[in-house]
Amino acid sequence: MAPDGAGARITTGVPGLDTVLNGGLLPGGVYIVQGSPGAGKTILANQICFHRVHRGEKVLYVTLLAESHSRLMQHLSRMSFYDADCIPSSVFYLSGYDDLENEGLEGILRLINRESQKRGASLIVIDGVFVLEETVHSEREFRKFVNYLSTLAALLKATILMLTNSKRTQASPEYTMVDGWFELATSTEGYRSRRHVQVHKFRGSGFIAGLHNTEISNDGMRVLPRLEMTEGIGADEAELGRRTTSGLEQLDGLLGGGVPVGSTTLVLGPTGIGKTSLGLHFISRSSDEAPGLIFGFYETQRRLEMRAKSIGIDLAGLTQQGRVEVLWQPPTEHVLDALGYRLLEAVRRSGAKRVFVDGIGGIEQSAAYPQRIPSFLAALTKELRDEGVTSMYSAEVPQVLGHQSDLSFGRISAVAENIVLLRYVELDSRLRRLISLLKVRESDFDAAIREFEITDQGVRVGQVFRHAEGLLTGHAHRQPPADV
Amino acid sequence: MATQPQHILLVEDEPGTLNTTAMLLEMSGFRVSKAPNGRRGLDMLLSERPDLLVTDYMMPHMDGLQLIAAVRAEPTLEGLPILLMSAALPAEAARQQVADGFISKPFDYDEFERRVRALLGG
Repeated sequence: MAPDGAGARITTGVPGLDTVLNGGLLPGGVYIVQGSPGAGKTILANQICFHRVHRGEKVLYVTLLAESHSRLMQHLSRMSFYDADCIPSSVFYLSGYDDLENEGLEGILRLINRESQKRGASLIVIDGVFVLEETVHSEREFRKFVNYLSTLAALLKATILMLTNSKRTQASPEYTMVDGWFELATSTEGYRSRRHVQVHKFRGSGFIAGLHNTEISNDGMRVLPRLEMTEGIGADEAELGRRTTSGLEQLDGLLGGGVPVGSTTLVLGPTGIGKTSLGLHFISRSSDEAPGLIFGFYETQRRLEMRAKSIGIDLAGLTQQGRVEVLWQPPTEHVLDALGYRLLEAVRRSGAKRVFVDGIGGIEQSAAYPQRIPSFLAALTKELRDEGVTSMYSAEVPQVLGHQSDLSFGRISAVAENIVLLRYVELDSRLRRLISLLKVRESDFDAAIREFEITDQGVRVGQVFRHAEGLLTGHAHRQPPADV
Repeated sequence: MATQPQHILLVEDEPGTLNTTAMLLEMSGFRVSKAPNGRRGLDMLLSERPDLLVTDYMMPHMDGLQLIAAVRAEPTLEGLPILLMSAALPAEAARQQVADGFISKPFDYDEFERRVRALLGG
């Protein structure tokens, strides 16, 4: 068996699963993979098979179903991990149906023993274990079979995956006998359906407990370990104290010299006020040494480029030069962790040091369990900081006008180190735009409320409003200048 | 006097494929014997002496290539035509041309029957 490095784990090749399993399966273990039809058991098992084969191993795949191997291979052939050249030299599919029919469970054990030795298999998959359960006359007989199988795995130094769709619980006797128990399932909330995996038991190793979302595509299965359980450990303290420009000199002045490197800035404001414009200014300062990334939900790259052009920013040029990447998330249903990993992967791929997430609401809406959002965002922002990223998020507040105490800053505010508030105010029968800072990490800052404008040369931050009051109520009124 | 139907031994471990293919061949007028693996297939070849062997590749106990090798080594089975079928293209088998014909699974039955009839000289 080819070693996988430290700890002699059997890596699965299923992205994310090895993270959940603290490195992979353990050699010589017997694992039950349970899930209803369509849950992805066969894809998962075959993905592991081809991964092991590409590490130089041999695999025996025994089916107990009447399903034809040719149909199985037809379906698998659409998967990128499938390699027809490895069949049958390295992956050998055979049916155990006749042996089970004529010789029962002992026949299956003999078959597995003989064929795995003949093929030199270090991974054995038994697909359709529920057929075995239906064949046995008692629970005791099935337990005996699982016991023999464990012994066989140890003797053969092979890892065994048993795929079953029968609903077993932790009270099931074989639960105590196998080395691991993984459940694949689908849950439906309203119109949305989500796949997930849960490790119920993994003997001899720690693992990340609880539900983890999964995705199935032409690349096979991908497990998305809950981000807050895997990422964001430790901050880059060395960056503390350094400043970088927000993209607007006037705003840098208010911030006390720019935003702290590695910090997270939340730009809050109602629709249309200029949150994206501020983000475009921030991202426009990307360079070859410190590239930028726009991770947005509402505007495509083309639309963002047009919008940037209208305020004098050459986003198209920046993207062509490779200084900025725009990663637009189409308005479909998203999985929270998938978004997080997509963002982090893009950062790691491009080496981005400036990230603008345009519309944090897109992330919040993808959460099946909104209570996860604070810890998820904390993990995400910490991980971005660890990558040396200075980030900016835009968040929409529903109030166009209104008192500040009415504002809901959303769940992101807890992890935002700098908060920029954009407001409308009505004065002299005209709507004006205001900008103010609510919070800046490790810094004194100018808390004055200033007017700003969006021009074809960009955002212009003006002077402090000195002759009006009630600005944050949304309905200001003029105050006569004080006598000197 | 009515002619005897030609006799085919079908060796296949997947029960669905085995039974369905056998049924279709019988409907086409052949006599069919069935074996679930190469080992049983070899026993039946020696005892039943069919006119054609149709065998799967990946099977337990004795796979298709091992079965074909055993047939070729058995003088009493000399000249027996063999059609190899498999969901995976057996590259080495194709190279060595161990069988008289190869068909990839899943197959179109009409094409399969044409291959069968061609090997039977019909």
